Amino acid sequence: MSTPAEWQRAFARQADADFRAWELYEEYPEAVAVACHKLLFLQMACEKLCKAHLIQKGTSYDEKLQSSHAYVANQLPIIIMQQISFMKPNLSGKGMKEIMKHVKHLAIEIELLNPAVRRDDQRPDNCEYPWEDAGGTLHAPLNWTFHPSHLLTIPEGRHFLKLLRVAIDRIL
Amino acid sequence: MPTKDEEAIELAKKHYQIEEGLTHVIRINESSNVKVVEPDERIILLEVNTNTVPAGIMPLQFSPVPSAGIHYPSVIMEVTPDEFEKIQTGELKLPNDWTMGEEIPKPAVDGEG
Repeated sequence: MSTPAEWQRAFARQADADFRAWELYEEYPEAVAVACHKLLFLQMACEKLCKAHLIQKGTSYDEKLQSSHAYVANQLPIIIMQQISFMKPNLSGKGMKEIMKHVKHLAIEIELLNPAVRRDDQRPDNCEYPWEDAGGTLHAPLNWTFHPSHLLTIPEGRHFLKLLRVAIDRIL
Repeated sequence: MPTKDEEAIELAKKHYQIEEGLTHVIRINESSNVKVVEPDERIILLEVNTNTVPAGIMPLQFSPVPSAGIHYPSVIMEVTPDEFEKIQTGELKLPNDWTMGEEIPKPAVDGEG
């Protein structure tokens, strides 16, 4: 039977692989058929990073982690905050707070990219499956403009992506 | 090398500087009855954040980062003010028989540098 430490490492390695796919799409945008595919890898990387940090060494592995998905909105900002604490970045207190504000907003939106997270059906938009809105209109991820696509392009979003990479590297 | 207490205070101070929604940071004591890895060597902080989303108590584990002056593993839990109230009244339980210890107060002057 695998130990919690082995589970943690497996989640961390998978987060790294998922985020590498995102980074490859960043480097070779022409390789992306539609934006939802790229965002899918970002969402998966964030979820697995959060789960890797949730696995407690010295206790039994909680299998609920495998099947639950709503971990990013609450947990990812803590991981990024901790990462900033470790890095002693050359940012003013105000600059760090602005980044954290943005990270919280992004984390909520990234969590919503998962089709299992629907916020009581208020946010059925996701980057995998088609959905019908309250007015009966059918939408597909391939035609949808997702909030994170914009949020990641502004400077705080670019900072977030760099911090996410370092946070993944740190837990590997 | 700083003591674990000094590092806990330093870590909390950094968190207060970075996260403006933090209102309280509480040290958590581990029960000696529960088997954990190196129980005396972890910094465990419960942080109350007005800007977080309610998700219950989910301890996040972090390894030490000596290059950043953090020589102990740390565990961070973040809760909303409502969840914190529930912890205080016993409606919400901390895991592993953990108990709340001293509060690390918010620095009077919030450093901007």
